[in-house]
Amino acid sequence: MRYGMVIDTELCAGCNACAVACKINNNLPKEVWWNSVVTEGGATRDTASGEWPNNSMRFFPKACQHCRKPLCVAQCSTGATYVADDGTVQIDAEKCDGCGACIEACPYDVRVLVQNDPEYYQEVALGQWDAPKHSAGKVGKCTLCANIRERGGDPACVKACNLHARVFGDLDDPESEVSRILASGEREYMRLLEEESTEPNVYYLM
Amino acid sequence: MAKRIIHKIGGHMVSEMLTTAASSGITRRGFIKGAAATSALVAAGTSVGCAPQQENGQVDTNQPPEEHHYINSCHGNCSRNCAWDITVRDGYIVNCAPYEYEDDPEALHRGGCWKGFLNINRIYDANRLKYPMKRINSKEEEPQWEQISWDEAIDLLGSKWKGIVDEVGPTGFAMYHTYGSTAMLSGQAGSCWTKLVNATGASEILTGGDMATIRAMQLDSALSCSSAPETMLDASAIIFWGCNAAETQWLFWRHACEARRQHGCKIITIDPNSTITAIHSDQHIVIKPATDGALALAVLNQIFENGLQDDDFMRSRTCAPYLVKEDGTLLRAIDLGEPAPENGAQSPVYAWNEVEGKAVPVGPESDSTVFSLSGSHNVGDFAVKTALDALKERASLYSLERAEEITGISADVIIELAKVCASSETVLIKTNGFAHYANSYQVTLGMDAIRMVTGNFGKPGLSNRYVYGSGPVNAEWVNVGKPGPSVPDAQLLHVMETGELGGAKIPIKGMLTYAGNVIGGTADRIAMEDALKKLDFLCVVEIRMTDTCKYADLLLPACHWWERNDVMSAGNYTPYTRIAEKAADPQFESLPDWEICQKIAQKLDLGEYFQGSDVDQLNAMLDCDANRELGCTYGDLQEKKAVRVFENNYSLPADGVSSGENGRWNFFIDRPTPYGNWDVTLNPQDFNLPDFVENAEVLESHPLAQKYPLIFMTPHTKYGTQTTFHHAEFLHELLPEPEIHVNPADAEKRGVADGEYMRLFNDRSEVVARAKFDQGIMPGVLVMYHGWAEEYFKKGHYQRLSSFDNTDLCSNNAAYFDVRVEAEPYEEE
Repeated sequence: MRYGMVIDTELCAGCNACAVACKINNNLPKEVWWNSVVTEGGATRDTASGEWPNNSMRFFPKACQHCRKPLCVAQCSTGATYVADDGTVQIDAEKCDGCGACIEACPYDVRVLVQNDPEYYQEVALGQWDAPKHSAGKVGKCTLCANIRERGGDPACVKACNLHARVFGDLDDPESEVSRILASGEREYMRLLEEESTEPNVYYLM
Repeated sequence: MAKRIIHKIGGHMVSEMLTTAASSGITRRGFIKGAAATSALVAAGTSVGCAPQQENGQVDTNQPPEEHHYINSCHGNCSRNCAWDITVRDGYIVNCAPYEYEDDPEALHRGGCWKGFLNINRIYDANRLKYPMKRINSKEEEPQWEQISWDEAIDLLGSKWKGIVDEVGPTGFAMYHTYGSTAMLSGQAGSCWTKLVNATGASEILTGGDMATIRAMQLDSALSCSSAPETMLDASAIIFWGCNAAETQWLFWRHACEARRQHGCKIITIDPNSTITAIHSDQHIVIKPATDGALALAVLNQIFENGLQDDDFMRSRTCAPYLVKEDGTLLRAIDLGEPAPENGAQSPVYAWNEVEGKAVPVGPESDSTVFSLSGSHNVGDFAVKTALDALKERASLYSLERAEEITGISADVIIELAKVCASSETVLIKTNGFAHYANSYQVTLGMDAIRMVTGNFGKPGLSNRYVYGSGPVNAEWVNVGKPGPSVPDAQLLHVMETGELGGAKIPIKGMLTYAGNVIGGTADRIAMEDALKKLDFLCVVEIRMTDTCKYADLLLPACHWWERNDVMSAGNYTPYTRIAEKAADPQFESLPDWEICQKIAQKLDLGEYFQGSDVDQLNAMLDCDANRELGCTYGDLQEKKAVRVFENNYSLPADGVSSGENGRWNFFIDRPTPYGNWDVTLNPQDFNLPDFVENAEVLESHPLAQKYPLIFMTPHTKYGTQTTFHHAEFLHELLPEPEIHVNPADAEKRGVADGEYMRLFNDRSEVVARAKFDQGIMPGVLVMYHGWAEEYFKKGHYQRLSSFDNTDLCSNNAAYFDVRVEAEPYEEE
């Protein structure tokens, strides 16, 4: 079993629906995002490269890549971060001592250390009733919504995408939609930072 | 599908990702910025604390707490009004997810978007209006408020309203909305507010937002032609003309991409800038702003020159054979001395019968095979020609050379575009970026004409509006009287200054605004501010503090959409009528719109029309034969939550017959009347045909072009719907403040660096915001996302830079983009 995600960057408009669904479902504190949209184009968000009118711009929603060869796991000194049986990379918060080695190691910049006591805009906890806890000195990241999946659902970002640009499934199952899309040869695809040899389980259709 | 090169993202991408991450406040160590605690907003009045809470406010995860799910929708006017599945714990709204309909396993109709999620922020917004508030200082100063009770507030409003009615009559009080809310009972149209307008006979202020397209489509009968969005899946070509679909019409973008994947549909975008839509299209046609009229006419000219029109369709289904007089109006029987029809119907128009060699009146059942499509004749005292001849003559003025000079688009591109436009396998989407200039009304006529003359109108899948029809309602519910006169908002200041419009006395002294942020969402903020300040009394009904609130004498707190019961009617892009369930109690002392109207009506001695609860109203509003047959009464909705009103691929009209005169589609508008029906003399020649009117401020030929060489656009984007969501904290974590996208060449020429504050100014006003270098912006153009309130700007506000001078008298269009400015680095004083 190896869960992964296929994201269609032809459809993606970089709207952040997936990012905010993640933020709400996981009750993330102020300024913390586990999923964010990267603009490939100009120097800043939502800008194009090239010279008008010959421009390029593409959006890459980016969260934990759930690598098959995760550099964070290799560097974690406490064993807090690990590869689960379903192929996803998870963090056992109790074991995390906030040393930040995993953050230095991860080339995708998708792990977040909560430095101070988490703050929120409202007093009630948002999101799933069993959303991950957040505390100062702990690292958190995308879990591919392990809690929702336990209940038979998909990660929140999948249904959140109104452009239907995300597909989630088991890459080890040849009948799954993610496997079918990648095997069909109908679309070119890529992964981020192949040269880092992390073998991500997140694929981007071009 | 053409093969594409597999991208490799290398080191550049890594540093770019870091840059992006850093600019969003997250460093590699997840550093949390700022500990400034904005006050959390949790209302009293709901049961608190059933879920086991830890000290830091997070739920004890050892046992699942009780949760309830409710179905509601986004009530914003984005055309989609997506249904949401809302999660409530302990009476608090804590989560939402896009709703999936039971009969829709492919999730065709599942929507939701980034903005819908932001409703969570809106519910807990620290700046929600919590209580009625009375202004205690002058409107020349920043407002100061005194909290008062609902009774005091309604007493105040009632006494002011009655006082005005006693003094000058019911039209002395006006009601004004924009497009802020689309729910059946609480929203902008056909709602409790509409009922109050009708009951009181109040004057109605009409928004100019999108009116160039709407008025043109009212007059050319295109509003009775529509096709469900998914019908575009069959298209061979989809043209997004002035539409950044991937951001603002995402359903169309989703369908366009699928059509391309399935069968190679070609996606064409016409836009001055390289939007994400344009960049991901197969063809991006760059056009100079406000020249779309010339392009439409050049396309029409190519269609006629190459015989691409559908003569049979034009003869039988359009105004093409109608006879036009030299004054630009149609020949009608009354012109020839016939009496006007007794039943109030229109005096018949005429066509030339080729067989009998004479002009004959046209009726819905006429045999059109004998009608001439071309030819000049004398009928009575009049020299006439066909409407088609008039259109062809107009189009012939736009040769390829002339069109290229005006639009910047080359001849070969125009020729090819004309062929694509003529095809019955092409879908033309015109929503709505071309429509914010002084000359946009005539552009709409041109775009519709292109489809009418080629026979691509009123047929399944062929329309210029890709929407479902409207769900049935009991239209009688709202009919409790008649509204007062209409005042297009471009004329509001004139009315406030003179007390009249078109010779009719309209002595407005008081106003109530609802379902919209009229200051934030309207052009010419300077005129609007002047007008509002001239009122003796302004009451603003709102969910949170907005720019409009600043001019109020009284603020009434409306509850959030998800804190009240309502229904979302099928229509626009959703084929289901669905219940909008109250998911949580209104916070603080905010009230549902129905209850507010009820209180006001009772105070105005109109309580008889406002009896009962919200549920009573919803029962009544849905009570009609059509809904009983559909199984879509309110009782049905309470049980079923959503009822499908339209099947997929629904197209109107079923029989191809227009709801217009004689069942025909009109590219020629006879005796055009103004939106709001006020007494203004319109020259028929100005508004009767597609045209390129060389009056827009942003055109190169405009007198202001030298002094203010930059064109300033404020489009809709993925980040917001009008001004509704721009206060959301989650948005501010990504976009901390407004930005002005500028081509680097324009900025560098003026000594402005990327990210530095830039001042835009013209003769009317100024605005200061951060410059954002963007190579995708057409040189000479500036783009700022619309929706930011004044408080977020370093200085000024963008709506003060636009002007009602750039409206057209027929449509009252708000010319948001018709703005010229100059730019310079901003120096702090």
